Amino acid sequence: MTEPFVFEAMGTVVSVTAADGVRPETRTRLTDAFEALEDRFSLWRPDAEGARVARREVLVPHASPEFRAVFDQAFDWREATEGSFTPMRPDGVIDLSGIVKALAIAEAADILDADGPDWCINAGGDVLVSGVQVDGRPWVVGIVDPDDRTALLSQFTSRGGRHAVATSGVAERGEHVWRTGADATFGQVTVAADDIVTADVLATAILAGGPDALERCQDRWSIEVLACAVDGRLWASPVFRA
Amino acid sequence: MSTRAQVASALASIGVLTLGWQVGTANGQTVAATTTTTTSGTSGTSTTSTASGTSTTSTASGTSTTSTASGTSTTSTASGTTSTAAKTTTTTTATSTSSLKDGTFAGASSSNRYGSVQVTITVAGGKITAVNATANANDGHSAQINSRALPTLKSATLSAQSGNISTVSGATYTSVSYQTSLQSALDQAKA
Repeated sequence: MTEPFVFEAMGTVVSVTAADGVRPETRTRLTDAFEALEDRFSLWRPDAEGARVARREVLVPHASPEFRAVFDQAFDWREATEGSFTPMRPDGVIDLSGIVKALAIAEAADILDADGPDWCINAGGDVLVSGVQVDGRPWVVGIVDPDDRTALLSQFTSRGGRHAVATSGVAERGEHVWRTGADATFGQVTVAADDIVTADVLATAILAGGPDALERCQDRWSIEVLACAVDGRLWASPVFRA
Repeated sequence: MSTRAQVASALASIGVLTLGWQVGTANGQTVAATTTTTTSGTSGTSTTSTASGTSTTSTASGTSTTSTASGTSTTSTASGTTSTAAKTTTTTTATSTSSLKDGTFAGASSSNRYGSVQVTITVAGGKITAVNATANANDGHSAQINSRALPTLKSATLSAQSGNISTVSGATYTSVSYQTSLQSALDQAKA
């Protein structure tokens, strides 16, 4: 098996697998991409634009074009999900970290594509795969059992091309993206979609908005969902049904 | 799957399916002799089940559900309903005692833009053994409605073959919790 390239970024761990391993030059480009996004959007690094906006040292209309582009994107998603996804914390602080990680994965995808069409990237449990494994078998993404993080609940098999699998869980509550009108039905939501930002945002939106958000998001986007309720119930799209 | 997990799944499924359930009795009446739940002033259904080791309650408007386990009693109510807790509870040792009658029952339909979904459960030996969600599509939308996420039991979801897994998706781990994660084990196994 090919040795995966594993590195820390954005407070989590990124694992990258590619056909013949990840070249040194590609490794540098990947770590630089994550670093650059964190450098701009971090809420913790004192000089980061994200932190300065959070402290209201900088008002959004005066922030950089790069910041404002991501800010606008996050608020577009807020509108599209009718508020189930929101980068606005209850205390009024803008927290874009939920969407920034997905953007980093998307940028990594372009970097990896330059070396070849077959790769897999997993950033903190959000996955984007492309093509097939080195032996021609499809990528298979396991879904963690929310009741036992050492066990798997189900799996998703890619069908060639790019597929994203993102999972939001109660462990994340309070971390990245804050929720309004929270419905506490679901404890973990996994969304499979063609792109990582959609999968990531909607996993968060459905986790926050519950069964109602699940219906609305399925109405509007082509996604597959495995939603685990805190009391053990499951809502499963066909791909997750036996 | 362990008995406890099966029981939890069965109870959990009862929870989601009690929205508008008619489990073979008139509104507000008991389902089994061992437990009594009354609701007043509302229309809706009442379901009581017991199990050892677990307790699950969920409510929605118009319904009342009470579950008890191992000597504890939990009651939750939705707006507009009142219910009194069960007077007696019977718990068995290894298996659950459910007040559901055996048979096949249909719940209320839920609808979305493509049509409606009818969920049917099969009860055997007092436990839910099957969940069937039937999609009734509006004209021309059968493909869409069948692609929806539908309520199911854990035992009916596609299980993972651990030997085949390339990578693992779950709630975000930190750099620290990564160390004890499945993903970490996979990364090390491939190195």
